[in-house]
Amino acid sequence: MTRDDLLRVRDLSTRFLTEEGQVNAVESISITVRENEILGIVGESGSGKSVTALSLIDLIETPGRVTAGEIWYRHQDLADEFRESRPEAIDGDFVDLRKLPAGVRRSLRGSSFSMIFQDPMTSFNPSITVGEQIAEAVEVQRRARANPRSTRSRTQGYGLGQYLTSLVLPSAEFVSKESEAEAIELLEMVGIPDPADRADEYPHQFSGGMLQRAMVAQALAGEPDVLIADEPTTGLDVTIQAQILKLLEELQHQTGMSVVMITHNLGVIARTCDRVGVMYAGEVVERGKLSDIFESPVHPYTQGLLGSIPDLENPAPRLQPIEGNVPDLLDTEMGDRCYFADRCPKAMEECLRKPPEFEVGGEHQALCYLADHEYDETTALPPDYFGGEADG
Amino acid sequence: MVSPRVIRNLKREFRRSALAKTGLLLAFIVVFVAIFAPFVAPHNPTTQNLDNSRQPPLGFTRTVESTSSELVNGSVVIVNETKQVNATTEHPFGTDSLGRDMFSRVVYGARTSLLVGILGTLLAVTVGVTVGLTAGYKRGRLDDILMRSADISLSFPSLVLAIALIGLWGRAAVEVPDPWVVLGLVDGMPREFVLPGTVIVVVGLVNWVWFARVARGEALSIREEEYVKAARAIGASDLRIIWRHVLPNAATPILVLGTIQIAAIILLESSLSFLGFSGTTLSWGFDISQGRDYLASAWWISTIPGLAIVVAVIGINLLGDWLRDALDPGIEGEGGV
Repeated sequence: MTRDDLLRVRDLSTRFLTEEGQVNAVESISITVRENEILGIVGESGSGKSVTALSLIDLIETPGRVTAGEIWYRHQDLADEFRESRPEAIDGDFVDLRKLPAGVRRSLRGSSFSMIFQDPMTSFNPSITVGEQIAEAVEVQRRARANPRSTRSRTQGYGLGQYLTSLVLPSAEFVSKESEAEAIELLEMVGIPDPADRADEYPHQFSGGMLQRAMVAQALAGEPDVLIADEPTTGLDVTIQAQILKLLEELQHQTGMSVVMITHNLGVIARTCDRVGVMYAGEVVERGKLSDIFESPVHPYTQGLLGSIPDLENPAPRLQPIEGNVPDLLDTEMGDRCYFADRCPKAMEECLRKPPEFEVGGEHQALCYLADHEYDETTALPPDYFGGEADG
Repeated sequence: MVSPRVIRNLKREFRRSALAKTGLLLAFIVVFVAIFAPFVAPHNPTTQNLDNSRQPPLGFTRTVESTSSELVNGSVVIVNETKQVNATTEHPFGTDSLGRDMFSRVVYGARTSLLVGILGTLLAVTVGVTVGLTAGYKRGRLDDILMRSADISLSFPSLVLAIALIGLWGRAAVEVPDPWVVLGLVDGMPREFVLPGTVIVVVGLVNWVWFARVARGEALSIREEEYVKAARAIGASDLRIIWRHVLPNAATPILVLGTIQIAAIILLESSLSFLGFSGTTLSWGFDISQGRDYLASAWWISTIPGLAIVVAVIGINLLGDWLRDALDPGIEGEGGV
């Protein structure tokens, strides 16, 4: 079954301008999300996974900024709407989100893109009941549908008039009864028992797993095309992790949405994803189908990642960790070389120049010279070439 | 928004702290007196009675030495008479230089002070919280512009700024009909009371900066919460997030500051009316300035409104301390001894 592309990200870069200098958190990454699939993005801490997610949904905040690249999103209506006024942002049915006005991008949040976060405990407002917060997400989308974007009130009915009315008339609500009913349905859909009762409870009365389910419900309120799950299982214990992953898979099948699963856990990737991108130091160093990455990894970093997980059937006496740490991505300290070269067991002289993306075959690409030709020991870099930290 | 925990904390702090009880009692008295002024006041506070001026309050007497001359058998005889003016229960706090009942004037003065205090604070809260939340939530250049202008307005001494603004705008005062009198429930009381409009606006504009600073600080920390990010991810607008997520979580310090600011504004209003900028003549500050000339002979004309200010300000401050100790667990209360 071939699936059509839904989201094509091309050469996306996100930089943070900090006092120490410019940090290239995401550097020129290209990924494609297809309809009805789960795309995994895996990498160590600090490799730019979360920033990638936030860049997709346009939630990068100062001092960060998406500095370059294109995010092509397939959306017939938007393409028709802007075909005349912004021809440079349209390509067939695809629109380049970065060239659309900020208001349009915001209107896509929730309805086209949605996101669930790592820590459900902090992702809910402690002073509002869970049901009401989900109902709020429903309400935002309801109002968005009721008012076409061109005429939509910028304040979503949160103007001074509404506020004063709510002070005088206690019945004036920010969230309608219909939305509350729908929130309960959503809670039921994500498998929360007694949804009507639980909806009236506050976040602290929920367990972590239940709250993560509730967050999934909140993210689904707008029936998004793409759900971005940023480490959805990291804060949970193992049995709950499995439940949440199962839930996400089921919901993905039910609704036909696409899921971008961001994690550092290769087990999660192996279990859920159709295709995978491996990130290192802000770059997607290798991407391809799940089988490509797990069975025939090309990039030494991917190989290292796979070597560092225990294999139950064929236990190695010791796991093979990757030596060293992710570079801190400060612009001044990053030369024009392969960023992994200093930790790479197979670094060669040509790795001091930045490798282009090589086709390995089919959908499998890697950012490594090894994808192009075999390891040549005669040009290998001496182990202490990068300052002799390799001994540690 | 008011959770059972909040109410429990309020009760516990109230039981523990004698100062909280005092504060609530004093504040309650002031509010009660202000609302039901026509029922509480025994006389019309503006009715003059020159035959009965400067009568002392209960428990005091005033000695009047009058010197008169008489023509007795063709020669002038100077008679020195020493008379005692006694207090009467009719005027428990005495009368002022025009024979107006001090007790009634203090009662009506509570109205002016409280109205200015509350309305001025509301205005300051509205302006300050709007500016502060916007600055804190948006950050960046807008934050700089808003907060630097707040700093600039803070650099003026508040009384000087208030006088300058009143000088600029005049002393507009609105006459509001007194509902109790209009309904015919009380007789012989003034049919309307004066709402010193300019003063309210001015004290509001002088004090908004404090609210802006507190609100900005709260917004800066709340905007970093994950749930704000989550709300943005579901497509909520900035205004919606500010109303629903930032403001409710910033409400406690704003409420505490608001209570204390009412007291500060009452003081500022009294200073302004003392200096004659208020636009109403039924005000504690105004009475103090009226009595200044009689301090040697009739101290109560100045002292009694002064005590009223003390009671109101202490009461409201203690109330604010109680709210702070009960609502903000981060601050160890000094009030709970």
